[in-house]
Amino acid sequence: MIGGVPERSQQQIVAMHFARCLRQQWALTRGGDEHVHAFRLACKNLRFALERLDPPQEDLEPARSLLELLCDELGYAHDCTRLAQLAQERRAPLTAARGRRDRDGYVARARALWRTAFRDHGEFEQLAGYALFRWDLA
Amino acid sequence: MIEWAQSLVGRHVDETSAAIKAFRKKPRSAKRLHRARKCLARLRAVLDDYGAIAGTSQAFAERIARLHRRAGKVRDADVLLRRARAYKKDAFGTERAELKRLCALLKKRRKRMRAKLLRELRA
Repeated sequence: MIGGVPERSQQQIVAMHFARCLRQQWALTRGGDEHVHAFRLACKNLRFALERLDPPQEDLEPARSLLELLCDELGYAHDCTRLAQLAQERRAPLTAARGRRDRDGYVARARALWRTAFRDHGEFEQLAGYALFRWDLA
Repeated sequence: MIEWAQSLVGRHVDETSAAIKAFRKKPRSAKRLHRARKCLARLRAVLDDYGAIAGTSQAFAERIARLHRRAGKVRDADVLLRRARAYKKDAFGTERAELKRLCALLKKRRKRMRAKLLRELRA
């Protein structure tokens, strides 16, 4: 730890990035490629903020690790999108269709991961507590 | 707080410099490029969150963002090429011909983007 670490400001930054993810989560169900990509970047920034915490918060590790998996899935989805776009531009329709199909599969997997994190005792429970967020599904 | 933010930025700058140096020694290495790009992404995130507190200049943040984008283009070509090659393994007929064309294109693009990145790093 370096000097008097301003824990509160780190907490606020995590809360800000988590809020951004929550605001953009709709992309997983209704978003186009750009929206999904923006959501992925928001998740990545949240993960980076969690990895930087000083001192490290072990109880936030499940959230960090889920975000890593989620970013990987969305990263693969982005690669498929880019390949499909390139294939479309270069008149390669079979490859474009395959890229699109694979992209949808990765986004579906990311959607499932994101949803499970919000269940009771899920990966985001501790994160929500740390960010001082509360939600009521009743 | 300022001291802490400066130290955090400094640590990321050191890591990024080391990763870039390693990449420049072996620019064809996809692993080293990936590592440099990851460091640039993390540094960019730190600058977004703490740059103002640490007192880093806007010009520095812009330079990092530019390098990150450039490295991203090489990485993009790398990753797309890998995916296209994987698709090609179980493709046949028209699809295989399409993928062969795309692989050749991506190889050229990767080379061009790598040269641009190295030029930018030298600047």
